[in-house]
Amino acid sequence: MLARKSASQTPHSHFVQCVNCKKTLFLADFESNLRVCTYCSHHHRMTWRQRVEATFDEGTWVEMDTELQSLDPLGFPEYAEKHAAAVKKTGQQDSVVSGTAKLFDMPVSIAVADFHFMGGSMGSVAGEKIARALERGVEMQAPAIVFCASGGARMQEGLLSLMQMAKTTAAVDKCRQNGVPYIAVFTDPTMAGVLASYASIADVILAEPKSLVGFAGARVSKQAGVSKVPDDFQTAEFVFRSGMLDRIVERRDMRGILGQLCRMLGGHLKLGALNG
Amino acid sequence: MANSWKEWEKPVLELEDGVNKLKALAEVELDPEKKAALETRIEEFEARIENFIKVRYSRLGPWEEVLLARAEPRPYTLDYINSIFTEFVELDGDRRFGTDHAIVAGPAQLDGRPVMVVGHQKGRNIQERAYRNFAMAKPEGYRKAIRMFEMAERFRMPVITFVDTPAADPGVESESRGISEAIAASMLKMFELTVPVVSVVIGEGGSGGAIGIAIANRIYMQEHAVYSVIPPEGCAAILWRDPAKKAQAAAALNLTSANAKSLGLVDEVLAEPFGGAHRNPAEASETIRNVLLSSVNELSHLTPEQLREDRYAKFRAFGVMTQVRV
Repeated sequence: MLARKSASQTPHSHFVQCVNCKKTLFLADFESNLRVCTYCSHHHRMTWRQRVEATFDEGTWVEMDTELQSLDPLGFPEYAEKHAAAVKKTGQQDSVVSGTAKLFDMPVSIAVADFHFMGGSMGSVAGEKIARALERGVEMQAPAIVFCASGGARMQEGLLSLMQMAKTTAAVDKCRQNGVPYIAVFTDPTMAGVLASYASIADVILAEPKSLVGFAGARVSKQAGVSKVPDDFQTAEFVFRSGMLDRIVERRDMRGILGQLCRMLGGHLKLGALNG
Repeated sequence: MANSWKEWEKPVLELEDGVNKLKALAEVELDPEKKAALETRIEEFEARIENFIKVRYSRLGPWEEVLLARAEPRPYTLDYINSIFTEFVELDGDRRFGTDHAIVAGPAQLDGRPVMVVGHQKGRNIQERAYRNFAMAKPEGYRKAIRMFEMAERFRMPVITFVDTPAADPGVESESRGISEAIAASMLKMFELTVPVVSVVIGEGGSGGAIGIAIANRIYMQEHAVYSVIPPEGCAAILWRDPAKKAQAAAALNLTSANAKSLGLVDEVLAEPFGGAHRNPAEASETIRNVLLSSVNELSHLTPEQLREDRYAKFRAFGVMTQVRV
């Protein structure tokens, strides 16, 4: 199920409970361990800000594309209310945040999806931010890194959301044409329309352990009468075994691996913005 | 709420049956007076049929459009291939794992000009449907399509795709062989092409399975086709936990050809023959053939690089949002 809860925390508490092993953890330890359970290594979901802070050089993050705001082009039932509630809950404009930062002093263009905002779903704004982040990599002559976390396309924007699959793919093509490395990181969950577009055609694909990664949601698979499902079906491990991603990387190692990859795959780029 | 297009076509079928019976009677009737009376009746019936179709088809709701887009008598990809092109040679296999009958592909001649054709293929009876996997392509189908796109690029052939799928195959096999990657890679390949690409949505434009072969310079949609990010049943199940609310979901999703046109996501809606393409497949074919000819001709004036850039620019602009500087 997509609705896996984040680590539960009682108000005013200094403790959290791991959603996987249910053991109680010190909040401070939990946060300093990048929200990974110290007992069972379960990787709990992160907000986009936690992700940026855990991955990139301190104080280098610059958010961009904040002018982009969703509309309700179809007048879809309850969309405006749900979207407004998500904005209020998360303090962000949509499910994807884009910008630039440095990684071991290398400039990088970044997009980070946040599952807490309407399940990380991709509508016009999310698609535009992903596309811009990829194309900004071309402009900056710097690697593009996208952290994926999404249930798929946002059905409240109908066919426009489906077209975001094509739009983001078009942006990947621009990176490829210009020799700009694009690295995708699958986090829990990376599903459906997101997986079947920009996520799966990155030059390098990394994934956090045990992330849910798949094309069809469990409900769809069930409806389609899918039988004999492997125990780890639609996990990062299953997808890795299938040859569809490069490495499963623990959260504490992510920054280092991304740094190595950017340095080597982006070694040919004229990093004009290196000092800027 | 109807569950099949047959429900509203039933009165038509009954009237048509009546007309056929009257015609048989009129044929053997020797008394000129009685014969004239029968012929008057036939004319009346035919007028009623025409009027019924006119009225009924002018007020089809979104859910009824879904049912019609799925109707078995609608012409499928191979029907159009056979009527529009000459010398179609079907090619097969992804050269990786296997074959996939949910997608048909191969070179054909469009008015004497070689083109590459790729399309989803449905089946009309149980055996055909099983053979075609309900037009739900597996990774092999998209990888076969990629092979055809690459060949078209090498041999400078315009690409024509027909879209008609409920969705890509969601099974364990498809997941383990990378259905998501196959769809994304097929889209990417279509963006790379430097030959003209034209797509026609002829029935169900079902989410990722559809867009996987629909990256084109010109996108056409038949009047009674639908194009959607998710099937109405799935949308209803997720939003309202009730698949029975599929008619509401169909309305909310804006999945009709008129919707797609007003959102600017298709270039043109192709009017269907009176009462739907299945009533006059020859006329429907002629309409498609004409737009294929004109669009391929127009696009042939662009340079290879312009064709690629045109496709990029078209899709890059899709999306509705505000851009308020804060």
